[in-house]
Amino acid sequence: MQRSMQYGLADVTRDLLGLDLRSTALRKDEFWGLRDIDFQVEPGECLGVIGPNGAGKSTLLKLLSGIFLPDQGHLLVRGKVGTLIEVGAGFHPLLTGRENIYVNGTILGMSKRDISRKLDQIIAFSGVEEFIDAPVKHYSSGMFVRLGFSVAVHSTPRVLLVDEALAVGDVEFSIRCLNRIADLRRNGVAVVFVSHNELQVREAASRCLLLSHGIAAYLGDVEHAFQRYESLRAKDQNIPRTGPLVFGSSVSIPGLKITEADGEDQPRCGNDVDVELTLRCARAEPDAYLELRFWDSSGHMVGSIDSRTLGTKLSLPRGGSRLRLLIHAFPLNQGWYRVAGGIRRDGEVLGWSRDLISIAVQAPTGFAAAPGTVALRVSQLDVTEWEG
Amino acid sequence: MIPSAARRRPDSALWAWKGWRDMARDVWRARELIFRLAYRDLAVRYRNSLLGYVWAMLVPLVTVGLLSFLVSRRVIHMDATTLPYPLFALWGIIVWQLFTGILSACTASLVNAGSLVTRINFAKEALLFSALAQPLVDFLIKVVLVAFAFGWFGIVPPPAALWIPLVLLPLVLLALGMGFLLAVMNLLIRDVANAVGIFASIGMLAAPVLYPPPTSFPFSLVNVLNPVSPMLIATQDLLAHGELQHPALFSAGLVCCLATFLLGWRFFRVAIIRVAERA
Repeated sequence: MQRSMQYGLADVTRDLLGLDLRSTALRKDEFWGLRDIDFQVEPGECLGVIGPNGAGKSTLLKLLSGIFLPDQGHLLVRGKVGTLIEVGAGFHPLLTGRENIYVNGTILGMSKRDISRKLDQIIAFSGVEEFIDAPVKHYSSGMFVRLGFSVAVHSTPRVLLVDEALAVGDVEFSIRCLNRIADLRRNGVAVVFVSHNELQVREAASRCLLLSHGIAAYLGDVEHAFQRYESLRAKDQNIPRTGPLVFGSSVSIPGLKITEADGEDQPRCGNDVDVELTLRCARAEPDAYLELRFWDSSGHMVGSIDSRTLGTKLSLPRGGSRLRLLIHAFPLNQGWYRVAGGIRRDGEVLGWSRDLISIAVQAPTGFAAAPGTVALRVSQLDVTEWEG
Repeated sequence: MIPSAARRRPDSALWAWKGWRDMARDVWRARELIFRLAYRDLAVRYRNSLLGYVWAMLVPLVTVGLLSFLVSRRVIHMDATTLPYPLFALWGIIVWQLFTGILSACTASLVNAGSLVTRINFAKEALLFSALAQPLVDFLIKVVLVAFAFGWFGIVPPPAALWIPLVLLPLVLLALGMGFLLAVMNLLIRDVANAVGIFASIGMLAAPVLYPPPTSFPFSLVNVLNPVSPMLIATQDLLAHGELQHPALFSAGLVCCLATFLLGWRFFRVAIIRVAERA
């Protein structure tokens, strides 16, 4: 039997016999999932929780919701807890949307009267009116999540826990959800918001907790939290990387450097940036082209470079060669990006990697970083009168 | 006033009185959820089926029909029963199926709930209490069947048979108590559900379900060792004789049922948190 289960069994036995309930000594292979975390979320506040995978974000939410119990320390939650975790869990595929609203609402602690009173609101918010009397097995995954979300945000919580719930669904729905969360906050609901999506955390949170390896690395201002997160990521060499998995065998890419045009520094948003690529070709490639793709930390491709836009083909000699290109006014905002790409010929991959390097882009100088993946620089702003 | 809840372990030691009180409180608070989940299960069960509740009657009818035929042709030798054999066997089977039905419904309840168990905080007992609904409804349907069978044979059960629901209650609690334990185990090791299925078919032969309670050792052990036997025999006595013929056995069984129920429930409350932490 797994060791973890043996410990569990031992714990249950000790619980039943009333032996020391809070042992602090770690057993073999055990570790503290969260330590020395100290925070308070006031009514109307929204605390964003960020941090790399495995930092303890979900564990924290499970502690707050009462699924886990702390082995040490003190945790107090005032009022009913609502969760946007696994929305739609407990939906039965054979039941209709309407029936599932009742079941799910009851699981989330609503009374039947409560649900009946809010039924129209719930249905309207979910946007699946048309199919509300069809079994949910016919729903698309988006409709499923929207209905689950709608039930959850109407369950009148005093404390709302959100875990990556907005990852699914379109922009329109994400915005509706963020608005709804803001509404709840105005009504005195305390919100804890966990997300990998930096933009959503920036939209939603009034303060931020940065977790790293189960420890609170930073607690406070949202902007600072993200800056700390970036520097943490830049330092942390343990970020799981896919490795230089290379497709195509005729060209290998031993080196890629992306730096400030006038120095060795990390690239800075808004400045000219130098890209230097070292290649090794098994044979001369006369009609090649270069492609680089930039992925942000939430897995969106946010930009690309294609040498064909220059109107010329690359002629690569056999053996080693070096490519240099200049990107004028680098538009990607402060953050962490992964660069994929390689050399292609029409319809053929000569050498390609999904993980060439990762780069940390620095905030633009001269003005404060605005949220968003692309920095839009304003050069002129006029005020004129208008008769409305 | 908004209630505040400190997140700490429940009073879990077996002798902690507050723990027992909390259990009663929690199940009372979850009553609406229990009924909602029960309704869901009942609604879903026959939604995509043609014959609906007829299925519930099919197995006991066919089994008893075949068996009665074999007994009447003396292919199988059976001691004389006070009630006509088909009635005796029919009743035995539906009581046994009530027990095993609850057992397997409870065992599967947590696994069927899926990520609900590890992701959402609610009174998980509700999943088990609501799992009682389907076997109970099935049982009631089969009782109608038995009533028709009694009418067919022209037999009116004695008035004492009205006590039977009270005798079945401990049996239901016994199944639920075992179900609490099995449901948690099934979360960890899925073989448990299979084992319950095997027990349901083999265990029936190790209890006086299809044959009258044996009187000679060692066969009489089935009256004692199978936890279902005492209550089953009590119902058979009430149906056939209008009185409990083995009061000592019944009392011992009663204590055993209630103890299993309470200990199983308590174990469940403590274990479900630890399991959710480790699942």
